[in-house]
Amino acid sequence: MSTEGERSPAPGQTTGTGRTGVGHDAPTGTPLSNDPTEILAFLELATPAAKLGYWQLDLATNALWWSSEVYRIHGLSPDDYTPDVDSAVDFYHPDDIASVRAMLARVIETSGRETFNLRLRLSNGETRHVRSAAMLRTDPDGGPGKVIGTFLETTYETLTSAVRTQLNALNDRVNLQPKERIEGLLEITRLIGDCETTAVWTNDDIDTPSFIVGAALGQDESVLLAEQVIGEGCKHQVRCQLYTRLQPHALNESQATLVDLILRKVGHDIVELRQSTELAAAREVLVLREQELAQIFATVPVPIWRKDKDNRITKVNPAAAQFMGDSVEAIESRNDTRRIPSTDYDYDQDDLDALTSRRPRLGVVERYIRPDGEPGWLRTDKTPCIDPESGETGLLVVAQDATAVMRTQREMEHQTRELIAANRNLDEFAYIASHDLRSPIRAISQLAHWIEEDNAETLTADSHKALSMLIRRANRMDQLLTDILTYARSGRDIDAVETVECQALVRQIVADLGISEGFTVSADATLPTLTTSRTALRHILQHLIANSIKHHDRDTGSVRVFATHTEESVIVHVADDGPGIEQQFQERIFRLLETLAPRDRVEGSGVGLAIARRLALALQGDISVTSNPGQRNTTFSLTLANSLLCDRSDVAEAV
Amino acid sequence: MPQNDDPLRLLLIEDDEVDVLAIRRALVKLDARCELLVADDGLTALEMMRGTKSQARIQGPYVVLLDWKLPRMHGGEFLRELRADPRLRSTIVFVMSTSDAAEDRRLAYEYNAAGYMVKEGSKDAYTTAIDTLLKYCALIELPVHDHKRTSRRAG
Repeated sequence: MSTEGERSPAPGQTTGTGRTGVGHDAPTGTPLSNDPTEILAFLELATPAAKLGYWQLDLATNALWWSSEVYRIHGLSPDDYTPDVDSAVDFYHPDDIASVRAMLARVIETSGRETFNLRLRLSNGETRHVRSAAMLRTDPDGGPGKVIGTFLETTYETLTSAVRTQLNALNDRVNLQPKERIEGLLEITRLIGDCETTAVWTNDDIDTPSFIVGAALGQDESVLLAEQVIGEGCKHQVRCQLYTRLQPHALNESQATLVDLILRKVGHDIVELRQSTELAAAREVLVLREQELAQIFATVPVPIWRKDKDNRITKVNPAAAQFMGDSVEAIESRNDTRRIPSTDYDYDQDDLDALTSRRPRLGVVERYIRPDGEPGWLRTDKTPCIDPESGETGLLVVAQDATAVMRTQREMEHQTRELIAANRNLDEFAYIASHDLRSPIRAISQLAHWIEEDNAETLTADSHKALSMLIRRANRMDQLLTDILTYARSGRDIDAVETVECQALVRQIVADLGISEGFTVSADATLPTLTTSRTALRHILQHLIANSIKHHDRDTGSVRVFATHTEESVIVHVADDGPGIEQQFQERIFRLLETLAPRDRVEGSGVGLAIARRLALALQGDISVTSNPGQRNTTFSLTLANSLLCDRSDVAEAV
Repeated sequence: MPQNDDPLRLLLIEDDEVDVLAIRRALVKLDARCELLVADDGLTALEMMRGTKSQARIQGPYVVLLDWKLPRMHGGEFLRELRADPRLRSTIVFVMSTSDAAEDRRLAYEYNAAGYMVKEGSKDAYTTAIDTLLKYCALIELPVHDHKRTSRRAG
């Protein structure tokens, strides 16, 4: 029997036992009257304040009476229900009915006092815990007497006690995984009654850092209390919602407090779970990376090795072992310092410098003796780094045979030098040609002039003619030298690129050429603006226009300069109405020193078109000719890349 | 027209006999009052101008006609030497060359050539050039070469 039960005074109790109880708890010297009226007044005050109910069962009539608190605890009002022994037990939890009956029987049988706990099931489904103390009051007249009892709701205390016990038990379990802890905590919510909080692990693999705690619920049964709590702890990757299953009524205050307590713990554990999950994932990534690096180290066909702080080789990859002509195991076990043979370079001193200075030495190319014994070139990259095993500073060396690269480089340098020399020779030749070769020709011409001048009277007509021919040949030779020189120089120094308006350029060329009367040269509006070498383009067009006029067979004629486009090219045409060129000669005219007309009829060295084509090639273009001698229509076409066009919209319009 | 009775002196530095002959013919044709002195390379010319190596020093005033391509000392070297000599640095020099190379022209003017002419093949080229040159020399006062010239003018 509990002491609480003893302290609960029953209505109408006037026995000494009651007095003793009250008197025992009362502060010393408190004058508490033995007057039953006073005691009743005290009870009237105390019972509603303590929410203490009381009841009475008349054993003679089997009538049951409840105080208003008992009604309240049952969730009933006196208007709804008049208690009786048979129907009252229906409010009890089925598991409690038998024990309550047994308890009551024992009270009657032994005339003793009993305290017992029972659970009420309210009509709204709520469960309430109640503690009741009961005692038998005998009838002085010899009747069956009455049983009186107290009725106190203990839901919160009961649940708290049960939850605490379980939480302590859970805390006592060591080595629990966060997931297991969460499951355990949710299990405890079932003790609270009226609620069942369930975690549904949508992904059972806790290594995956994304999971949802939840439950399939009816619409009215979910409570977002849990989501709030847990959400605080899981700001980032983890979104979790914890649903608490409820009976249709809301949790009462005491239950809600406990659920909140537990869910906070769940929230904490979920954060921990997330962290451990992330840690596990990160660890796994690290392991994979290390495996990957090891794989690269083992398979890369570049020799890589590590040296320790004392400049000794501690680790080599298979490529390095092959390079050093030994096995990985043999090299790593020997701890050699020297492995790169060289006659004139101290690789180990170099390594030591890098180790001491702790500064990388990259891209060092020096001589060494190749594994086949031949001299070669080696490129090394040395990076000081911390040895992951010893924690000491070491050196990572990456070596590559650079013999082929160096040879190519040497060859290229050699070829460049030769090319420069060849160009210089050409310059020298050009200079000699312009001075030394032309001087005697000029002298011949002048001497012939003087002979003619001094002996004008005495020379025969044949001699005059011979001298005249001599002078003309000498002049032709002079012109030929000039032209060859121009040809040799053409295509060089055309790197300077500028914006060239072709229409204006053609007009300028025509003005400079001094076209003879009777000839017209038209510069068409289709001519584009190009970004190219003005000098080269000017020479090409000048040669083409001059060529058209020079080889014209009539006193009057016209030359038309215009442009067309294809998808890739812009084509500048120079079309004339001259006699034309027979099909079989059309390619021949571009050759150096080729002429179709006898030199004495049309003065020309046959260099102009050759220069024009050479310049066109230098501009990444070409020149072609189409001619139909019968139609008096000959067109020279300079094809250039579209990319030279300043305004690409020309292409869109024309194509 | 010349301002005194002295004929103009032309120092022709030229190794090609035909060119020397061409200039002589031009002078005859122009009937010029001009004394032509010829040196066949730059070193000889310098000796003549300085009066060294048993050469008699040319009496001023004179104008130099310089061929560019010369044995032993070519035109550029001659000009450099000339401009480094305090007594000769003010000499008027016309370059006559078969070369029209940009580098040669640049060098000639860098050493203060009075003009750079490219020799042409036509029969009257020299006549025109020499005529213009003589007229130019008649129009200008030539630089003072030495004390003798000054005293001569004074006398």
